Amino acid sequence: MLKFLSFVFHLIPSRPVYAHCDIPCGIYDPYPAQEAAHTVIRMTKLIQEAGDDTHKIVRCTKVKEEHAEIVKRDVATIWGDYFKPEMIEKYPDLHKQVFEILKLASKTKQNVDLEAANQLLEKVQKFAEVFWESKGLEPVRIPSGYTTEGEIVSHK
Amino acid sequence: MRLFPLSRFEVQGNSMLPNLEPGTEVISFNWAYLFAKPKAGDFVVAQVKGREVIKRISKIKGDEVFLKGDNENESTDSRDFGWIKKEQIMGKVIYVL
Repeated sequence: MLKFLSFVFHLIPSRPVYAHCDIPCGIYDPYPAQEAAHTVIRMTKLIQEAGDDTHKIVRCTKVKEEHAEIVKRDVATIWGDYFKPEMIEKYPDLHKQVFEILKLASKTKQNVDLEAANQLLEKVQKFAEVFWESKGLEPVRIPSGYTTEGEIVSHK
Repeated sequence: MRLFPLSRFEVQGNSMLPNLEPGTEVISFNWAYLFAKPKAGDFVVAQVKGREVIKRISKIKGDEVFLKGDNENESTDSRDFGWIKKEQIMGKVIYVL
């Protein structure tokens, strides 16, 4: 009977039905935002140490601007594209966290402010922890190995 | 409503994992909701923004349904495109080939 049913069903022309996710298909990672936040710290320190070296200040400022922008773009993308409304119910502080990251990233662009840069990294790391938790993976802080020292949030 | 009661579909994408893998073929019964009401948990094929999608009914409110993919982390569904009208449901999945 099942064989007959299957035979009949196969006579019906098939067409695609979509069970798609957004492109890129679930590929999100808070790693680049953390790397960029570390870069903002490094550039801030280099600017502070540059003295009268205008050329170096200009170069470091450019990189600082670009990487603060990477933080904003990547965090906003994960927030807007990856997180779903019911996940926000589970992480009610997420909107505030993202808002603070965007504001801090702007602050690090507007000023040579090491405290703001350190706060930015800390906020991005906390955001990364929420991200991995939401995927059911246990977040873990590991040494970054960068010149800034400090950590990167990954998962077990 | 479709004249022919059954349609065959090939699932594309990951949003119904682990229950329906990409490439799986399913049969939908196009007349399923002529005499019965949609229920939460039903696998359905629906017309959303000009294309046919396969999802599960999560919630029902009046003449609207909320669709969700089983693979919640990788599904674009009513959490993104909102509630849909029951008329947008084209059929209920009744058989997995």
